[in-house]
Amino acid sequence: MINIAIPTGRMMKECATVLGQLGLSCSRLEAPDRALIISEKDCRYLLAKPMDVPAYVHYGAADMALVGSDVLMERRVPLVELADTGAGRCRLVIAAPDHLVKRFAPSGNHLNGLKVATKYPNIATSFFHSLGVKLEIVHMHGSVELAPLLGISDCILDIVQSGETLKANGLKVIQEVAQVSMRLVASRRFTQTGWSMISGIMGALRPWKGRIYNAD
Amino acid sequence: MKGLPKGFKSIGGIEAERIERARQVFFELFTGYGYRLLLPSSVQLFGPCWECLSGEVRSRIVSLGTPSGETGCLRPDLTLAAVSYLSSHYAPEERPLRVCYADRVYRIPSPPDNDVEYFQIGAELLGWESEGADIELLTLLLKTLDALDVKENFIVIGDVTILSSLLKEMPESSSLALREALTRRSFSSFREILDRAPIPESLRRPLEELPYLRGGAEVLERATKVLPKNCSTGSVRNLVEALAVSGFKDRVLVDLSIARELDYYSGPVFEVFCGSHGRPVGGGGRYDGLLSSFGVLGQAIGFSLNLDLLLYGDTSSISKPLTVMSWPGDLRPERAMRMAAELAACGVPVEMSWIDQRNRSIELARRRGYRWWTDLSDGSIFDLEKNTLIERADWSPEGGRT
Repeated sequence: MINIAIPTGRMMKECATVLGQLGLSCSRLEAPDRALIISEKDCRYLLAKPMDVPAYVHYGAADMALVGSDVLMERRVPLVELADTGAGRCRLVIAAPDHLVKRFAPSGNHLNGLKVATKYPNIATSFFHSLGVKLEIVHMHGSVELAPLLGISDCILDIVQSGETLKANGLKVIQEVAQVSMRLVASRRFTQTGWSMISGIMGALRPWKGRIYNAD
Repeated sequence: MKGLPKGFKSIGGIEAERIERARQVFFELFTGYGYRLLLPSSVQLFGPCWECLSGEVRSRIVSLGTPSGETGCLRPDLTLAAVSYLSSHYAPEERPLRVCYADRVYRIPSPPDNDVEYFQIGAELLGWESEGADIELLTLLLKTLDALDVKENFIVIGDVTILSSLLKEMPESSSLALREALTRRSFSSFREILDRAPIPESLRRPLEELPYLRGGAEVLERATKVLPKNCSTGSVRNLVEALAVSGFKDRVLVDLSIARELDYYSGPVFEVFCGSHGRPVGGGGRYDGLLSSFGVLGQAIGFSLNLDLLLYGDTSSISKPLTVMSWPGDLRPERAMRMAAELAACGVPVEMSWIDQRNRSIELARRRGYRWWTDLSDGSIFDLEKNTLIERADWSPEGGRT
């Protein structure tokens, strides 16, 4: 039995698609009930909050997982990143209201003291520190776009797919921080003990050179 | 816990007993093979730690100021302390040197962990460069895991010189990027870099295959076909074969892509796994750079194990049976202590009960799980299990607490 951690929420459906492409049974993931552990044939799926997924693998509760590269960047948990599935593509960006855009034009001191609302405090800190900017983080857990509108922050660092939510809330993308996609990860232990299973999956990936999901 | 900073802990009760027993078992095993104990200082100078330790450990050093105004740090690593000690206390002709240690190390936790301090056991064999040294240390490491009754343990052996040899032929920027990707264990980044880097065709296939060269001993056959002639797998092969002969065949795996602290190690490396832990509980390997920074020529091999992880989930009971609770009655405390010492000298664990009332003392003994209670003033012994008095002449502590 292989234990696979899956993020709940909007990524879950895409996870089911990817798992199907990997040849793993996952029909019950398409219409999950309230159960957080779902067993199918040789797989046991552990449904976890996206930010918790790396910890499940790190501590050995899950052998493998599907997880966004944004979560991997934020949580910095040492896992084995097996492949970029190509699914769930989006961007991690800095966005701000129109009137603040010009503050970002020159870099450096103009940004010092910036208040950034985000679900990703570690990524925000690293990114702005690399620009030499001292910032104030407003750590939020959702609806981050509200923060500049209500004067809680100057800008946000968040993921964006189509950009419609940003537009609807009067925000503009100022800078891209990273491309995001769903990654297949495994624990360091499982890459040793379960390599025959992993290599089967990885073998299927080789024609796509690490990308296992046809995003088109 | 009151009075302790975040990430630090005091350990007591059964957990402390398990750690202490593990230390004793470990020391007994290693001193039996000529290793000497090392009790290193808790604080080290920051400079040498920064210069000598790998980048991964370096970023996690807990620095502090010493009373004499030096910049120090809480001991982030025991190997450094061991090499520093050995290089300054022994002449070259006294080598090989063997030390073992079991103590705390302190590192800024990496997510999702929270502990700053944890117990480490480890050993170093310095100045013996034959494969015998590698086999000795790995054999003793596996014996330690057996002696500690660590469940589902196994080791994975690789050799950092294989990756170094492959990368030596490449442009520096690609070489660094590939090293970094493999150190992060990001196979997808590794693959992406390979796809776009200008790599000689003769190296492309070996590098593409490298992350896949893992599994049982049969991997070494495949490696021979895939890797160039200058990438010898001989050291790993010798270790795997020697450990198989010693009865450890089922607990030894091979992973030729282990990029364990590439700047630090200089030969075979290994990682230790056990139980359900998703990450290694320890590891080690052959190193030379650390020695040269202390002016020592040659190589050494060492390992360390995270004792906290090793013992996690251990439910074994190891306390000595509570045998006799001793009540002084109307004796003076010093006289009662002398009588208790006589019992202890006979190998009977004793706990004194300084409560005034006889009944309350008996009740306390019951609550604590004692089998026997004795009134030192008249020598009477009470069997708490059977509720009967026994004559001292008929009494034997055998069995104790049931």
